Amino acid sequence: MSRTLPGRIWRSIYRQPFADEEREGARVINDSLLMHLHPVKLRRHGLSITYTFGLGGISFLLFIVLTVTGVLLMFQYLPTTEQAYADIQRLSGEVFLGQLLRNMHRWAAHAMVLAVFLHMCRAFFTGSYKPPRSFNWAVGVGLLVLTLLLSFTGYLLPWDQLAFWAITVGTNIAGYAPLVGRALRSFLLDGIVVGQGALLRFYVLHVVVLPLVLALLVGLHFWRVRKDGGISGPPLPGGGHE
Amino acid sequence: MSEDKKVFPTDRTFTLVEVVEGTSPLIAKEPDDTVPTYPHLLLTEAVAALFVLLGLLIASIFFNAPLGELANPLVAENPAKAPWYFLGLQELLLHMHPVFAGVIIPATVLLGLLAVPYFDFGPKGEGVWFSSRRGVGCALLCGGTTLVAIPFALYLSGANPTNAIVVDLKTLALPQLISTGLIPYAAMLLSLTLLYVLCRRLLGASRREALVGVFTALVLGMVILTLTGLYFRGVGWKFFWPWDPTRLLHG
Repeated sequence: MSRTLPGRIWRSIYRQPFADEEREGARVINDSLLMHLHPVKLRRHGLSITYTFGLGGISFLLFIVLTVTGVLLMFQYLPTTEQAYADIQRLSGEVFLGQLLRNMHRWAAHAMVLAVFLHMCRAFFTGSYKPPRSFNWAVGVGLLVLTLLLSFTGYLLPWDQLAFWAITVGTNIAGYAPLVGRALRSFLLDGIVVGQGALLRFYVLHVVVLPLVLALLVGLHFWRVRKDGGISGPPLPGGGHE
Repeated sequence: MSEDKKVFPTDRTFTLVEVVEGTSPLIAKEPDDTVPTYPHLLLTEAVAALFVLLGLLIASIFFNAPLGELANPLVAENPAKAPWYFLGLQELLLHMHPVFAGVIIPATVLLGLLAVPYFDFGPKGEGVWFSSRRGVGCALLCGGTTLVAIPFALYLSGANPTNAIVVDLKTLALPQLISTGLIPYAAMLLSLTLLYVLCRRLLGASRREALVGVFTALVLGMVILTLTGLYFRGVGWKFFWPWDPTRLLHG
């Protein structure tokens, strides 16, 4: 038991003192809910910045930023055709740091689309989809689609001309799907044109359904990275591969 | 000692006691290839996160998110543009039947991506960017071809009032689904196949290396179409140079 109060509080949370040797460093990872997403040790190769460019991690970080800023925006926004646009204007004018909040949410959203896409390119060009990672590659493709859908559903919410016509163009494209196109379009829009029904559907998809599904899939994606033997890398000189 | 060096070519802190037959759970793992996550990876991640957050904050201080006029279903935006990541598809819509541009092509790309690991499953080339020097060659060959071919096709189409690239497919005496759908779709698949075969024959590439080339062509093609929609399309979805002041004015 530590002799000082801060020390006792620290130990109640982290169990071990500040880690300055390898064995304690391993416990930092193993004993923490957040940290144990990581392996205790990883191949030196996986640390190389020019191998991964940290794109998967950056995508995840942006998702967290988007969740936090998104929840804060929800306190100031009502998804009705009468109120939505005025709420966004109020956000830029009256709400404390409101404009900054909206800017962060918007730019992080663009950045996330870019980061996830580049992460997929990285995984392809380094052959990281090869067995045993083939299923996780499929999960990743699903995550890219979800990211696009999240961004797309968020695009309508400011209810300005840019949003209205972008979603009109976008949902028209969906409407061309053979057999299911018209049904899909009227399901998304709750009608034949972009209106109150569409705004509510896009809002619910954007703030509840899609983030929830994405979070679950991200969990699966991370778990599989660990179960598939950690981050990909070249076969070892000793011929360690199957 | 000499047997030690033969089995374990690198320097160790342990010695070989005995060689035994049998399987081992240590697949693709060597005891001294690893580093502890704490502090190495955690530090890298923390620094990277700080840089991303800093960049985001600076961008958000200096650039405001756009906000147009209040939505008005009676006044169409001209040009009405989809979000930027769908502009490649919107550009395809100009040249192709909507069923193919909007549905079949995206579906083909997604299914193709999902299928790749089930056709390229050997461990060779994993963990190295472009797999090999020959992989880089494939990427350069296919990427270079795409960088020339697609802008050239778009330029021809931009100079033509009917947006046709070579012949106006709409005027062919065939159902639209075939003339502006199946024909250009088949042409695309054929071009990608051609690039694949070219990599295999011309460069002697493996399956994986040729796939690297095809993927490069696909990604660059999407990027070019997206940039075209973003910077080279204006009023009436016509071709404009990005610096043309009349590009986004309402006509």
